[in-house]
Parts: sequence; C-alpha cells; structure tokens
Amino acid sequence: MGPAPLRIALAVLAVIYFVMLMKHPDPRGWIRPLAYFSECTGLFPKADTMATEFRLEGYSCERKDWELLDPRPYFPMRADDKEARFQRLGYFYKGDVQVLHALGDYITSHHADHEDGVSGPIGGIRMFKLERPIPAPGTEIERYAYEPLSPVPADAKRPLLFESAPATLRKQCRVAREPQAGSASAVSPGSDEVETMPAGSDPWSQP
Amino acid sequence: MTDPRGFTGWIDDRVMAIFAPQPIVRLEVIRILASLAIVGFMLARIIHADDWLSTDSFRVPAKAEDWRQPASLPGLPPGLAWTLAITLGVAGLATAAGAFTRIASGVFFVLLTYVALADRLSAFTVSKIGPVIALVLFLTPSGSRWSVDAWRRKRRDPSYQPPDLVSGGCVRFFQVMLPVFYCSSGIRKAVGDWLPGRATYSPYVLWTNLHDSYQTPVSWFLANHMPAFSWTVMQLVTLAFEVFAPIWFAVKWTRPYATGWALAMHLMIGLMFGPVIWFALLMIALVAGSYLPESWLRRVLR
Repeated sequence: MGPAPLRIALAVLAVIYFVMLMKHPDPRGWIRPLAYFSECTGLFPKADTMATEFRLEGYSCERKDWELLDPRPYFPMRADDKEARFQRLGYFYKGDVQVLHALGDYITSHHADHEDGVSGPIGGIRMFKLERPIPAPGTEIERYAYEPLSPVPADAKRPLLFESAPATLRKQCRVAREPQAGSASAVSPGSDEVETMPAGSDPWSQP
Repeated sequence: MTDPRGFTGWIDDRVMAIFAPQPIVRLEVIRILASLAIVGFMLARIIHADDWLSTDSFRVPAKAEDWRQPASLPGLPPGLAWTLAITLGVAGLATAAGAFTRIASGVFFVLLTYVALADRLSAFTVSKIGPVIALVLFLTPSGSRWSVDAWRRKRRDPSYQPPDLVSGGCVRFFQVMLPVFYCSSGIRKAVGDWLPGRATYSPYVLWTNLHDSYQTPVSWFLANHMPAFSWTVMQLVTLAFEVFAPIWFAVKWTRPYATGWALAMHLMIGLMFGPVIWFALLMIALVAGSYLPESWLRRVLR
C-alpha cells in the first residue's frame, strides 16, 4: 500500500475522520465541506411531535383564489416521499424568505410546462406545512400516502410558511393576461416583492 | 504456558494483531456489496439527473455562510449533468465488478464527493459516507480477487495467484469505523429523546417515526399488531447497542452477538423505513464484510 510515511499519513487521516464522527467540528469557513462529511450520525435522535409534510398552493389568476398545487412535477426525484427535494427544501429553508421567493419564481415560470393541478396561469405560490397529530401508541393507524392535492384533514394544522406578495400576484397575473407584452416568466429576484409585501403578510415577521 | 514477556508482551501481541495482515475477502465483500448499495441509493437520483444537478431544476440561491450548504456549486448544463450521473453509476458498478478498480473507484470517489456537495437537498447519510468508502477502496488493493481485474490478470498470466491477505489497515478501517459510527449515533440519541431520565425522554421515539412517508407495509403492519411497550424495548436495546458498540465489537465473546444484532437491526430499518433501505443495505454490507466469519464470506464468494 505504499511507503511507510504514506501509510502513517493515511492512518492519521483515518483517526481524524473517526474523531470527527464522534465530535463534529463547527462547520465554519474552509472546514465546512469537510465537516459536512462527518455529520452523518445523528439518526432519528428526536421523537416526532407531529407527522409533517410540506404543501404548495398556487394563486389562480383566472379564479382569483388559492388552489392546491402538486409540487411533484417540479421535483420529480423521489417525489412521493420526504426525501423529495421539495420536502427537503421545506425542511431546510422554511424560514428563509429569499429562498422561498426564488422557489415562487421557479414554480411560476415553469407552471405552463407542467400538469400540477392548477389550470391556467398562476400569480404566485403559498407554502405551508401540514401537521397531523401522531396517534397514541398501540392504537390502530392508517396507511400513509402522500397526496398533495387531497384536502387538508380536519385534525391537521397548516402553519403558513410563505406567501407571494400581493404585488407579485398582481404583476404575474397582469403578465399572464398580456402575453404579447412579454413571456410568462417570473418577476426577477430582487424586484419589488419583498419591499411591497404588506406588513404582516410574511409569516416570519409575525411573533 | 505463561508468556515469559509478561503483561507487556501480552499488550504487544494485541497491538501487533491490530496491524497484522487481514483476509482480503473482507475488503472484497465490502467492495462488491457497499458499491452496489451506494449505486442503488444513487439510482433514484441518476434517473433524474436534470432535477438533481442541472440548471433546469430549482437551485437554492447561493447565500453567504449558509450553514445548510457545505459548498455553493452552480447547476450544470443538462447534458453535462446527465453525463456525470451516468458516469457515476458506471464507475460504481465497475468498482463492484472489480473492473479497472483503481480507476473506477477513483472516479467513483470524485463524483460521489461532487454530488454530495452539489445538492444538499438530496444528500443523506449514504451521500456522506459513500465518498469515504470509495476513497478507501481506491487507496487499498480492492479488486485483487473475485473481480474482473483478477480474471483478466489470470488470463494474461496463468501462474498468477491472487493474494489472500491485505495490510491490516485496509480492513481495520471499516472494523473501527462501524463501532465509532454506532457510538456517535448512540450518544446523539442519548442526548436527544432516547434515554430514560432525561427531561426530553420519550419512550416512543420509534413509534413517532412511523406515520409519514417513511412508513412501509411492514412498519404499518407492525404498528397495528405489536404491543405499545415493544417500541420502547426496541428503542432501549438499540440505544444500549449503539452507545456501547465499541465494547460489543471489541470483546471476542460479544462480537458475534453484536454482529447478529447489527444485521438484524439494519434489516428491520430497511423493511420499516422505506427510503432508508439503501442506508440499511450499505451498513449491512459493512457489517458483513467486517465481522462475519471469514469462512462464511469465502463460501459466498467461492
């Protein structure tokens, strides 16, 4: 396997890796990519308090209302389980307005290419987390199925995580009504969305 | 007969045993099974390469010091994303087959590292330990036996005898990695909700994870038929196994039971938590190659 110094160096690297598995380094600066590969031992350390999934709604420009929107055509990889990129996006970035604005732009600009359950143009998106209570241990449970267009169960909570600003909805729907004036592309990031969002309409600005 | 060197001699023997050459069959079983498990995990991603890696998919905007992102890598043109994903799959399969193993495992390592860094949203435990395993396969003489490489070499030189042993570190790495991994995982569980006596203790951690898309027909059936206390029993046994794994695997008398429990535990995880099956199979590959009796492994690869 090579000369002794190389073997010793490899043994030292192995020991460093084992130490990093036991004690994850702070993921800061240049060490962040390395630390990332050692952050893999925190497997189910906490009990779930709710069974959760993330859902989307699109704002129908024609019907002027929010309608459930199927995220699976936009995120087809492992689309039906919580390893889908959309579910992971909700998990990691549920509090991040910048990222969710980008998601809104992406969904709006690709809506015409997908069958997502909302017919006609959309002006923006709304993202919420569906939280269902976990049954008491030992009680009968139902078979789970991910059905993003099914009505929200009566016993579920649905905290709102993000909603496109009213100005964005108006602008997108206006663009959709006047296709000759431009494509149905989304409002570019950094436009007036954040600034014109009415106070309180962003759930993360609320207590 | 008593060792004339006394206790220090006994210690010397134990230390030397750690670095003594090990059966190559262990390394080869890990090469074959672990590579296949990693490719199996990646397959769901490879068939959606454009959604996974390309500019056609939603990309998380680059943010300064985003704790969730290990690196900020831009999306690839769709054609390149497909090329990379297919190359990743081919390299993994070639590593498993032992075909051009040194090159294949090197490419496998580089591409696994890239995809783990490129898309945080689709990266899980297999994404993080996969590159480490591929790197070790690259650095060791994996592929020397039970491989296309060995077959080709034997055809060129009929007198060639493939090795029976490899340097100790090639196998010891995996044998040490497993208990370290379990122990770290057990400690995180203990400081989480698994350990009785802590304020956050929940006796039903396992039960609470059965109600979403991780649920399988098996876990649904068991949830409806097993008594409630059995979930607590499994939780405590798993915690004790993981926290003290270095002891269970180090002591000769407990090692077979630890091996059996680890295999059974991962089998149940694979059956009960749907998407986790590839992680379970990867761990089974590592446990089997590292700790099952050498004669069993030889019989399988005969």
